[in-house]
Amino acid sequence: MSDKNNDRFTIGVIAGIILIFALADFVARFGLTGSEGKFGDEKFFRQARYEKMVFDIRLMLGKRETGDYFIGKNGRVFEQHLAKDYSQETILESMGVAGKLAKEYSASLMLIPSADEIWKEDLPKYADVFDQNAYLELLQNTGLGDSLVDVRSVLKEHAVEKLYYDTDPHWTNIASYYAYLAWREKNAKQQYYFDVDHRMMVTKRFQGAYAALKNLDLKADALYIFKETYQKPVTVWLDESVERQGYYRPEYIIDGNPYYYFLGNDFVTARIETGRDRDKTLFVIGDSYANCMIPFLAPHYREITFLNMENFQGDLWETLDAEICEDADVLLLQSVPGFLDCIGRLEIE
Amino acid sequence: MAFDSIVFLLRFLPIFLICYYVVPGRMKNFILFLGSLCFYAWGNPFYIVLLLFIATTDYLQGLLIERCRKRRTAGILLGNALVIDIAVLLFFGYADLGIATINTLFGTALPKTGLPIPMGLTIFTLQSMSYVIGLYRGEVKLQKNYFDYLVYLTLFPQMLGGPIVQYGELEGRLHDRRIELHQVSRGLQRFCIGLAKKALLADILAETWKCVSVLDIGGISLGTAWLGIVAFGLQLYYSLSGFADMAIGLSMCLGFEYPENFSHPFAAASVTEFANCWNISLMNWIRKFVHAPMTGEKCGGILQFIALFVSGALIGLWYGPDLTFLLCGIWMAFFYMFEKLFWGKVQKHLPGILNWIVTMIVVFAGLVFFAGNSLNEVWGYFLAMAGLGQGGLADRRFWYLMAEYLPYVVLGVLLAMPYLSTMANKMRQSKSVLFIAVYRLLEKTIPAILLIVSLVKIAAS
Repeated sequence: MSDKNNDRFTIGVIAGIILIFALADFVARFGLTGSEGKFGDEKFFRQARYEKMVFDIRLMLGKRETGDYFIGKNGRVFEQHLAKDYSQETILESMGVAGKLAKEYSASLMLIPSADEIWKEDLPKYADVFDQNAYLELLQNTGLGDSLVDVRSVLKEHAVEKLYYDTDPHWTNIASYYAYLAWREKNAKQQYYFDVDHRMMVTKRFQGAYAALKNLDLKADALYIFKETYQKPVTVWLDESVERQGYYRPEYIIDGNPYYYFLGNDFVTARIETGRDRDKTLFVIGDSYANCMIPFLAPHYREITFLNMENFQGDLWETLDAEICEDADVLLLQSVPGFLDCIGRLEIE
Repeated sequence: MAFDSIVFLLRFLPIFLICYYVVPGRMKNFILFLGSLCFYAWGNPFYIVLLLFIATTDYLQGLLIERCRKRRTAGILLGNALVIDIAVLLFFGYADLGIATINTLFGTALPKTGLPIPMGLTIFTLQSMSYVIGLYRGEVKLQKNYFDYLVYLTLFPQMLGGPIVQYGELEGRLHDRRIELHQVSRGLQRFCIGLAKKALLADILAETWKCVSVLDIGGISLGTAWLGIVAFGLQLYYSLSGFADMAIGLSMCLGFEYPENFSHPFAAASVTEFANCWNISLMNWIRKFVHAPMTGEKCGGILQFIALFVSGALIGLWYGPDLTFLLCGIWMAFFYMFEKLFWGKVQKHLPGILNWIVTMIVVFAGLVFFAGNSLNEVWGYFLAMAGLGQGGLADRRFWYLMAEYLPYVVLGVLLAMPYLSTMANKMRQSKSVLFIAVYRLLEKTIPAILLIVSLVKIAAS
């Protein structure tokens, strides 16, 4: 090829590429789609495929992070809870809050470790995650041992089982059942029968919060519930205005995060009338981890009030003073990161 | 309008280039002027007035300087032109820095102007100053055609990050120019390489730096600190040199030839060499219009010292109105001077690799000023780089970041070295038919592939 033809070829190729892309951009914006589209729409450039290709290459080159998530062994996803995100000040304040709850309100403390603590060995090498075990031990060693339910140990014992969803950061129904057993044992409560071996599958197309990470080939989870919790005649009052029968919210299976099939997420307080003739009531200070555990707690109480800390914006101490009556047990039921995240909102003197 | 945006690449550029090539010779300047104004107006249309004001005043002062040549009035006119240029530069670029400094020093509460910095302010004012000073010195000819001067000053390719094109470098091509096929072909190739540097390399290195910069500076380890600052330096280099490559490529397509702005600065084995390879057009401008007039022909002693520090400070401030940029410039000037006075003599007896390591330590330490938000942060980072921070030598975060980003940092370092261009030159000059064929093939395919990947990446993000 002569020099001139060589130059013509180069110009032609580069100009051609720019023009093809420009034309595609034009069509995507103003033509064919009927309404104004966005350049990079899948149908034109298969954006998702490109992103996936780049993601896979970076995964091959050792990248183990995507946004706020770690990609662990076997492609398992973990929400990031980095050590740097929890200051010494937050930890001290959280200890103060836990202490106040335990001492002034005789609360049981159930702090649930998240998946990155229980399946630590599956995390990417050297991932600098917050040491939840050390934090729980700190609570244990500062005089809160009597109030603290050791959920971590029981979950560690069952670590080979599916304790957390693949497509969502929440724990599964079976994990919450094991935690419930630990709580029951610690508080010497009466035994009620739950059939672990014959749970009921609600859906096998559970796609939780991680489903938004389209670069990953995440297989859908299955969502189970215990049969014994399904047919009980319970009445749930959401924010004292909406009355529902039963713990479960099938609408979340179709639209939204299916995890909220357990009780939903559109309330600040949920009052559950269990229909049982019991002396006591329970006040739960919790986050979404509490949703799937409440059905196990229900047989022990006449009524359960669940204060959803993910939506609650008021003064916790004022609420507790106003709501808790003499026959009430108090339970703090949150994930460790969830508890630490809301510490900024809980002022103590 | 950024070069690495869809608006520029797929809308502005094709339409502009088609119009530019279709119109006959004398109309090209009109299209170029119109295109440049559109490009400039995209961010803040108000500042077009500022750009045209600078162009018009310096053009008129140029006419007067020429008319009063060999008279004392010419010097006054030059002074007048420079005062206007510098006043505009200081007011629109550095007023808020000045006010903040006064408030800190004297405890006052003067309100800031809050004006956004006009795009390319430090480029077009320096370019315009190069014209009036050059004209006064008799180094360039008077530009009688106002429109040609407007075209020179508003040229869009260098507006984002340089190079600073002195009037003398474009003088001969402003009114009329011939566009060669070979020039366009090379220009497009250069543009694609620049785009890939910015879109593919700089962005991922910026991600690495971001992971380090969000950490508590007091707690980072020596390894993390060095990994972070190397990633920062490389991303800065690939951003600036990527923009410069795109500007140079575009200038070739338009029939101009901009000067080179970077020449493998991270391969430098001395601070002097680094200064000669980094933002070359800015260095040349400062050398010619600040350093040389200050020191005169017989330079030496204290004057040389002062001129060097003033030059360093100005170079630092060119990058932005921040005290840390100023200190970065002074840091480099100090080591430049140190090398001239003492270290240079020692350097001659040291192996090249050792000189390179020492130079890189100085350069990357200097870049900490550039990256830091405050002096406290800079000091904390220095401590970490020296292994005196609370994080020790290497913590979990370091090993984690190494596992995540090492391939990109290594790739960034390798591509910043002159190995590839040396290899390409050898292949091009080779007498072997095979080498020439491979070279020709790669020369055509690599820019095209880089363009496709960059465009898809930009579209996807």
